[in-house]
Amino acid sequence: MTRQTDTRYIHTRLQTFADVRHALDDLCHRLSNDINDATKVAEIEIVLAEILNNIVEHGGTSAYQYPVEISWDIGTEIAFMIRDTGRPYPQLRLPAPDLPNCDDLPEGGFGWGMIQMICHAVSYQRVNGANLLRFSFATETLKP
Amino acid sequence: MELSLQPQSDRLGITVNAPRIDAQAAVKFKDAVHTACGNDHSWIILDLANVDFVDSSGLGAIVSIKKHIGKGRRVDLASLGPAVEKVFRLTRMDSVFRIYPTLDDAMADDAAD
Repeated sequence: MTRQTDTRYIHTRLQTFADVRHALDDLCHRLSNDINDATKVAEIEIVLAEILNNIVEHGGTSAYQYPVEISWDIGTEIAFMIRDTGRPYPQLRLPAPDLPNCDDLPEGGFGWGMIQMICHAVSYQRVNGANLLRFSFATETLKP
Repeated sequence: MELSLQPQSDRLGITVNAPRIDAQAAVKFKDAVHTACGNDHSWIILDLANVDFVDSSGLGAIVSIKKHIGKGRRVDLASLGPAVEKVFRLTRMDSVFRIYPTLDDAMADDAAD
């Protein structure tokens, strides 16, 4: 039986880390309705947390003038798209996913490494004054 | 950030009573733990049994505590839940801490080195 692709979305203004917490709570609740695997939802939460925190931290004032659009297609995999009107990414490309060296006891710089390890097909485009980030998760644990 | 302290000879167990060490909580967490650490104990064990979620900011805060605790003192971890353990494993930061199944295990460990 082929599963039909369903699209879900949340539009939310993100100005503070408290807004990110609230959005993640909402997103995880929605994801748990479709995904029968708490471990998978937890992995997705890690990725979404890094991306949404980055918007608050680096997006600047233009990032919260419009809602951030988070949408995801649920089919044979879960494919996310996040659109924000914050500053463009440096050099208009994805940051390198390199992890910092453990021996230096790094206090940051883990985000993109984690994102790239947990999900796949991560891509970035700057379109009409907005950042478009796409990424996907494999899942065999969708609820019927 | 609410912490419970369990001092015992050379070591101090610090239980974090919050579900998330994330970008919103990281600075308060770091300040609260630094204050709680004091100078009386050479070995700090952070008990994360009540923590469900750590993001890269929370991870950075935990590493920062180890980095700035001072010479001759150590910081280790206990009771990492699955999502927290995953973040430490993916970033390989599990290699810079000793990770105990529970705080009691850390408190009972006689072979600290």
